[in-house]
Amino acid sequence: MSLKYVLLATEGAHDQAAICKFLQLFGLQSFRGERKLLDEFWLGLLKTEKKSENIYAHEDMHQPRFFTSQTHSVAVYQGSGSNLSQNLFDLLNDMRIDVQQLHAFGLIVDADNNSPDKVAKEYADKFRRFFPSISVRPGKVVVNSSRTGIFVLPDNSRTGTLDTFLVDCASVAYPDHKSGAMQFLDGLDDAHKAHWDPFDSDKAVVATIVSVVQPGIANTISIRRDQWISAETISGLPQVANLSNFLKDLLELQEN
Amino acid sequence: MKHLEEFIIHNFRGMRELRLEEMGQVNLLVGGNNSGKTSVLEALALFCDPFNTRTWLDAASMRDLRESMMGLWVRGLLDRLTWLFPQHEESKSSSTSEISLTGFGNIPRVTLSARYEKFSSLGNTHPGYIREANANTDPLYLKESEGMKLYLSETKDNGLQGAPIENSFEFYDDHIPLLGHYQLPVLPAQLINSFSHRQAGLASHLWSDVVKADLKQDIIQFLRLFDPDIEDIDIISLAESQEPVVTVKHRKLGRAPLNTFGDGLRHAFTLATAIPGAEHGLLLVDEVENAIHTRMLAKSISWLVNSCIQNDVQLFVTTHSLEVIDEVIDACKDESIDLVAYRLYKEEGSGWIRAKRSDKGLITRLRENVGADVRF
Repeated sequence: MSLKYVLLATEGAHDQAAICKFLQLFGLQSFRGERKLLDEFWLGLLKTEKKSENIYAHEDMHQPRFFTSQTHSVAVYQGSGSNLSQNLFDLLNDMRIDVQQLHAFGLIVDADNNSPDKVAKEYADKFRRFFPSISVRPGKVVVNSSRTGIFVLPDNSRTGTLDTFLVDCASVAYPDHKSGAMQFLDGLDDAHKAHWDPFDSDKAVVATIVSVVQPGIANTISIRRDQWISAETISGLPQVANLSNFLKDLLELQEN
Repeated sequence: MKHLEEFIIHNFRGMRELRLEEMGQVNLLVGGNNSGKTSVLEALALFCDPFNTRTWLDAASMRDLRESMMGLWVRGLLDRLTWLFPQHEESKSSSTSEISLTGFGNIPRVTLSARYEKFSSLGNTHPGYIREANANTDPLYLKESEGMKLYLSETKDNGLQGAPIENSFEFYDDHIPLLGHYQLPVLPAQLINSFSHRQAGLASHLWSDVVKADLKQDIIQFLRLFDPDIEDIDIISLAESQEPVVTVKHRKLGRAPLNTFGDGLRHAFTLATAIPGAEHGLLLVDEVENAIHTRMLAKSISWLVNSCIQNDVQLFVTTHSLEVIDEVIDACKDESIDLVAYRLYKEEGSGWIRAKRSDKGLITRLRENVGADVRF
């Protein structure tokens, strides 16, 4: 039986880490990074040193993460924030991977600037050229020659980002930390928050909790290793269950 | 100016049908090994000057280091020429064994068709052909020679109802081919491969073109990037009994034959001196990075691209190097320079060679924003 190839695209490293955590919970094996063992199908997605005069330009270069099982081979791509749309479009347009062979294609993106409906529509319009049946409805998985769908964080209805979603997760996973973090942040004078963008308060809560749960490590590592996304948060929070079900539906995973 | 906008290769080497559309003034050909990059250059060279026996000999022999370097075309020549033609099963019938190359752009639509027949002939009966030096030259000695006759037909869609230009020439397995130029080229073209710089006599030929084109000082200036002690270049005999050769007047070494210098300088010399012969036509460079140190790539590529633009040369380069791709993108930053990249690949299932075209915007974004390895 041939493998089901699935491409999941995210905007940033934190979103990528969150999706990776879901895949781990689904029982897929994380690819350890040995290039010669990587399925050739995904080679075109790999990033190499960017063309730049700036010697530090490649420091933000995050490779896709790969997961496998007996039935699936999944790539979790991250496309440099708001550049995801153009970068991913260019990759597909240049036939870096064989779209015809994709079992599923999913976008997991933020609603930080627009409503989830508008975000989903913009992405669907952009990628319809490759996936004609992709739905403009956030969270809707369409079954066609490829299964396609767009999940707009935090929950397909509110505006926000992954951090909004993680703050929700913290209510179940780290309730004491969350309450302490909020108390600390609320106690700070507004002058300290004057430069914050919308949803930066969520980022600050997550970062504060991470600094206590795993002092000194990056948020991405905590998202991947700790209990933000877990069996408990999936069963305790509908928005986490929704994302879990969206991914399972997209991958066509059998329920345990 | 783009002399060719579109080029269609039909039944050439391993290619059944390959279409290169919307070509640029600068064209990058990338792809894995055996994806057909060199074949595209060979096909372009044949299209540009098909009625020149030398073009066929070079195309047939350019992959063979020894034959190409030494001018030893005869050994295995018929086999090598045969391999220019399709060898797949369907090509056993005459209708599918014919090479067809079509191109148009700044020139009217031209189609070249070529087919061959093999034959045997008895004796030294081929007027004008010279037997190989080590063959039996006894005129009474009769030996059966294997031969191959190429039939060429060129049609030009220029609005006139002219008959196709047709010609044929013969090659033998035991005779040094007679070099001949039977029609004017469709376009001037120069094909430079990885060991052209070692090919006997080529440097002198190219340097003569440079002198005629009054580009001597430009080229010397370029070569000083590789060796700042170069003072002058000439074709002279260093000893009375010797053939004139290209020599370099060097501040430290005195006068020395070009072929005593390193591969990098000689390859750069060949690239630079090929430009006059490609003026108003095509320069075809296989593995442009060959022998050039990574630190010299930026200046070399920039000079090459600018010289091609200045001399109305449409440039085609193959490469396996990401650095070359990046330097070509940089050299083509000017809005007026039209860069196109073709990635050649074998189609899953059919095995046919296909070309994926990327325009300048896409190839630039893929390298600068995505960090994609666009070679594959």
